[in-house]
Amino acid sequence: MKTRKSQAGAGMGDGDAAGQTDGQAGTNGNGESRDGSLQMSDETSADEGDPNDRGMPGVSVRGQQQDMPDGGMDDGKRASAQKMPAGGMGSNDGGGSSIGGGGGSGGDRGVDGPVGGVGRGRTCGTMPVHRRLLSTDPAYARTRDRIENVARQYETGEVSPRRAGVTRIPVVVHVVWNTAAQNVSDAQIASQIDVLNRDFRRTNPDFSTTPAPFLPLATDARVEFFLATTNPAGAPTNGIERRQTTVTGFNDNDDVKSTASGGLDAWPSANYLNMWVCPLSGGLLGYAQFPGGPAATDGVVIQQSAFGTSGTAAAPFNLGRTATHEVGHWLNLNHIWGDDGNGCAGTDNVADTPNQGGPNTGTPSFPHESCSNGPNGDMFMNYMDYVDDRAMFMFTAGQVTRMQACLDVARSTIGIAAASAIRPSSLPIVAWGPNRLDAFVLGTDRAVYHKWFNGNAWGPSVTGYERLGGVSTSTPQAIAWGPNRLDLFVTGTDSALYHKWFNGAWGPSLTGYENLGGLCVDDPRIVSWGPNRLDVFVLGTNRALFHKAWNGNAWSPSLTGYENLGGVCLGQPEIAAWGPNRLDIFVVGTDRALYHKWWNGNAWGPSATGYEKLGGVCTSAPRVVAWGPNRLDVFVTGTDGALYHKWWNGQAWGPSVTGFERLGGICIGQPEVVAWGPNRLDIFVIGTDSALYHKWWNGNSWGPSVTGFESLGGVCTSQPRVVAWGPNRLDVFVTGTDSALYHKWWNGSAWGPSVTGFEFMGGIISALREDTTPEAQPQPAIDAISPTYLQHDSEQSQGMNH
Amino acid sequence: MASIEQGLGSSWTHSFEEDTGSEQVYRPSSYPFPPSRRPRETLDFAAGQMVTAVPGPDDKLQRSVAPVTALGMQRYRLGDGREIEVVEAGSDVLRIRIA
Repeated sequence: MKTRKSQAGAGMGDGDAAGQTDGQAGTNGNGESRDGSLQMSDETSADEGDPNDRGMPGVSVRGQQQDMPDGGMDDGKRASAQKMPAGGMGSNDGGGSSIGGGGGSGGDRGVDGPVGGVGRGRTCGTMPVHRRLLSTDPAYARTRDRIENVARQYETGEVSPRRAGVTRIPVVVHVVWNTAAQNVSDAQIASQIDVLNRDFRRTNPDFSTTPAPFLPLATDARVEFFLATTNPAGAPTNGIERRQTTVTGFNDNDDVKSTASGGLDAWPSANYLNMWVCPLSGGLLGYAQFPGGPAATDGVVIQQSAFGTSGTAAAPFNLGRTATHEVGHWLNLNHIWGDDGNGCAGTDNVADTPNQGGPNTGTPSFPHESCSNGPNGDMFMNYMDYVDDRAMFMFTAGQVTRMQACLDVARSTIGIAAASAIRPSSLPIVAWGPNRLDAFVLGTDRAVYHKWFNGNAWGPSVTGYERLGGVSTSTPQAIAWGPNRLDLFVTGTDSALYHKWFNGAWGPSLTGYENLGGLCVDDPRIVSWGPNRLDVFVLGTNRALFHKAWNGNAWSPSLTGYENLGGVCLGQPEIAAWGPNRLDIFVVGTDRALYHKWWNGNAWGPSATGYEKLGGVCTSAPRVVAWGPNRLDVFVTGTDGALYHKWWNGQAWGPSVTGFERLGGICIGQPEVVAWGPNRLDIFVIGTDSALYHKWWNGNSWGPSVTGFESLGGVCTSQPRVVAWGPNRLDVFVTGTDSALYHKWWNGSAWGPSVTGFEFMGGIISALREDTTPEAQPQPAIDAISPTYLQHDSEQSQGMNH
Repeated sequence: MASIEQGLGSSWTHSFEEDTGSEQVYRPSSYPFPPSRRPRETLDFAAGQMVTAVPGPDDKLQRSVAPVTALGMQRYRLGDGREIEVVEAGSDVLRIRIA
């Protein structure tokens, strides 16, 4: 990764308290240096207000399974259930009734749900989706015009394709089956991906049988495909979704593209090629959607018996060419005869294909003439004709140019390397695949305990836990870099970092841990930017940031050594990786301003131990999410308790380098942020009444309003922990006043078990830890900045809070 | 005069492999068609109209509706001016010429 200044052994913080060398991270003298452009209030009071606002310890109601224990705390404020509680901490005026902004009504999510399939519900006699859109949707017609205009510029050579080399496109295969035989195997799916990779790279063996006059035209499309390894939520996936349906045969009305109509919802088309495999009625082999159409229906649909080369694939459509043909459409290729029936006036908008009458079928013999196109006749062996699989084996150079134009403009975000590699950084809760959750907590004996959801049930039971041993002094941090792979990090009573992993079995043993050295304060944070890659960040006793990495073979700089990244940091560092070999680290300096450093694949920026100052006066550790390549959204709370936001759009910080967007509320502790898709953000905070509150960005606006929040009930004693294992799916975990774990979820249409209810998950959860560095912890600030435990230890909170 | 659906049945699927010259052959949708990449056009007659579905540029079927006027002698005029001549209309086959 880079040349490191290695600190071997337990070298962290061993008296080297001056670890911050570049002076950019906040130093103790910088507390007053608030940037004039700040929008955050800069009161320094960390008064937490009425201790009852924390809801601790409250009333324990263990038997109540659908609701969080509601101990009657803060009754006066709970009356305004639709708003964030106003007044209270950090507010000097005592009023603050407008801070909450317009409240969100519980469950009012209809406006920002997924885009429905436009073509659904088509009645007899209506036109298919794109034809109807062209007629009725001026925006769609303009988009198609723009795509065609650009394609013409590429065709004439005015513009050259911008993508160098090969574009690798992540694919999600949605298998929708009615009979068991239609549930195509992973091997059959792999055979289809192999065919696509051969056909779009002109490495198909039958390419050599192209008739001599057409052979010089056969061209490598420079596109490859792979099953997605990261789902839209950032969790690892095998790129395959399956469901059984009651629909015995789908048609071309897009029902297969919606869970509600018996199919499976699309993944974001900006990042994935959606490929539905299902039974199609009427002999239909497949159909596609051209670029520029609705995202919810974007992709290709393939008849299961015409998919891949094995399993259910049946001759003469058992060579995987149906998908090649449909993906050609998806990349804006037209049929080679010009879609004008049998006429000679139509065009496929490509110059190097012969004019051709109607479609060819079966296995024609060369030459086959039409439209006076002799002596070579039709290019019926082109993938965009209607011949059998074994009779088609080429794209032309003109078609490749047209596909590359599509990739440059209409599908400009697809196949950008980083788009498929965004993973959330470590949390106590992790999802390594769709409908999979793993939760790690500390028990009262400080051992690590584990429970999981396997898609059907909680293991080892709804309220039971698997004991993983250890005596931990930090909240467990888990990360998954692949399916059925977990890496877990905690600090021990010696403040060293400890690691264990799951790869089908727990290593080094069920209750054993690997010692990774160091003297750590606060919780570690881990991020994985690729398979079998881990980057670990901890704070040393001098509060400098330290880093170590697993490269698939070994820890660097050494098993127990760390790289010193400087700074004097308050609270837990926050890490995001928006692409392979890219890291962005955010910390709060001693002046409570936000600081940033990054790894660009070659070097640390702004320097090995330096930081970029991003302003603000933060009362929480930052939370960051990357919903796309070169995109970062950062959230903190200000001294007025409100939520603040800034973002990096690939070119500049918004609203300014040191400015923040105020999002209202009075938040207790650290916000939690997750992105289940591009340009989608969900933020969860705890209000002064200890209830859970939620707001969201739907790509266009904040919901329920810029400064409003949706109340989700409960009396929470921990910050919320949220994971999204799929599009429009959220799972939220908190602890209640009885120290048990509670869970609620958003399934795409409603909150479960109810808007304000929670599922009881059992346990007596603790995050007791030794205070190893009292001298380094200015108490009020640290308390505000590092509420990182699943549950605050009441003793510690008393000491810091009250 | 008998309605067109009384004369021709209601729903037909193109068995294009059986086409000869200008004559198109249609079969009921239950006919055991061989698999084909080319989506099969359909003709549906109802309420004096003919609904045609032909393969579109994205392999979906594009549907259009045209009123049908009986001209006698097994000839019908479509709303777009074209004429259909029915060569054979049985329970399991419809042979037509479209001019």
